[in-house]
Amino acid sequence: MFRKLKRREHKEELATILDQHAAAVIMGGEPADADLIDKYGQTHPELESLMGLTRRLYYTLVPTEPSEEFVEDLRTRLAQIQERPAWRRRPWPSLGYRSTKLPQLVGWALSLAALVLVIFRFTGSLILLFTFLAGRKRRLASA
Amino acid sequence: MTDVSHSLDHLDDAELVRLAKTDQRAFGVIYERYIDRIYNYIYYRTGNKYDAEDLTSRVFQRAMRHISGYEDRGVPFSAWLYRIAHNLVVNYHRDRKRRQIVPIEDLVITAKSSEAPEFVTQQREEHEELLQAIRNLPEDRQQMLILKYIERMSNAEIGEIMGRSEGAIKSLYHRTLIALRAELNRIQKGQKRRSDVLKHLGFDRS
Repeated sequence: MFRKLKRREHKEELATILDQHAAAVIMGGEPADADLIDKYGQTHPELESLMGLTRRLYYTLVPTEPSEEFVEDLRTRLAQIQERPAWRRRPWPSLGYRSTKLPQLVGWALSLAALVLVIFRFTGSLILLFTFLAGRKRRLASA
Repeated sequence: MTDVSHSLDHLDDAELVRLAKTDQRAFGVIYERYIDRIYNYIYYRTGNKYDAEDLTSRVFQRAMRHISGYEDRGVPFSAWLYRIAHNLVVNYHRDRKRRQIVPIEDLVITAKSSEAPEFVTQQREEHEELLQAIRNLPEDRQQMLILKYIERMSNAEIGEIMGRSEGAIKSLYHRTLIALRAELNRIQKGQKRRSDVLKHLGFDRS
């Protein structure tokens, strides 16, 4: 029980250190990682690598901006929808879905054609087999 | 924007939302206020700008359709918008069954142009590796990281959006870092295995 409590406190302490470190990094400050490692490194050996990860996240997850063209276009489209009467406000089709629709249809058509060909081939083989067997039987009978 | 929209600019979200139920200009101000944030959120969750634009359009269209039924339940209005964005992203991953990779050329590289090309390439690879690891995390962890690093939100604000306490977000961040480190190790091991195989086959890149 005591050990469990101690472990929880230990975890919470690490979570707090990391949280404060991340907040300082995100705010553009330069927290002294070395000081923190000196102070807590003994009790939390994983601190250094996790603080390094915080810095990597800060430099990788950077805000981007949508293109002005897109923002303007969407603003116009939303205004147009708002001007329409409610019964005409239907959602526009997704660009993503539209871009995948044609390849999807071609894929379906080709699969269907392949299936039909396989069926024809299989039926043809069966017919040939029956013809061969019937011919053989006839030849045997005549011999 | 018109003068009337300018006069709406100073209003807080709650007042704007109340007005937006009847006044389309108020919705325009909401749009200007949140377009970048919603786009960023979706961009990092989907990994490419085309899907981010498509889903961002849907978020605002859906918000516009349903704003008349919006009820203030004490959580920020942004939580409602992020919830719509989150649901659309979840559907996107489920329907398309794919997780795209942010094209390397789309990444914002913080390296200075004077830096050596090898350094820039290495930095790009590291960014890409980290983004890949982030995308392999559970959705709530991805959401928390984006709100924390891109939106620069405090734990309390993230908690309001995700419906968790401030302390829960702090613990989630700690667990996320540990999971992310494990994921990065897994990716690096995979890469090492691949390069060993290539070396063995005589395709040594070095």
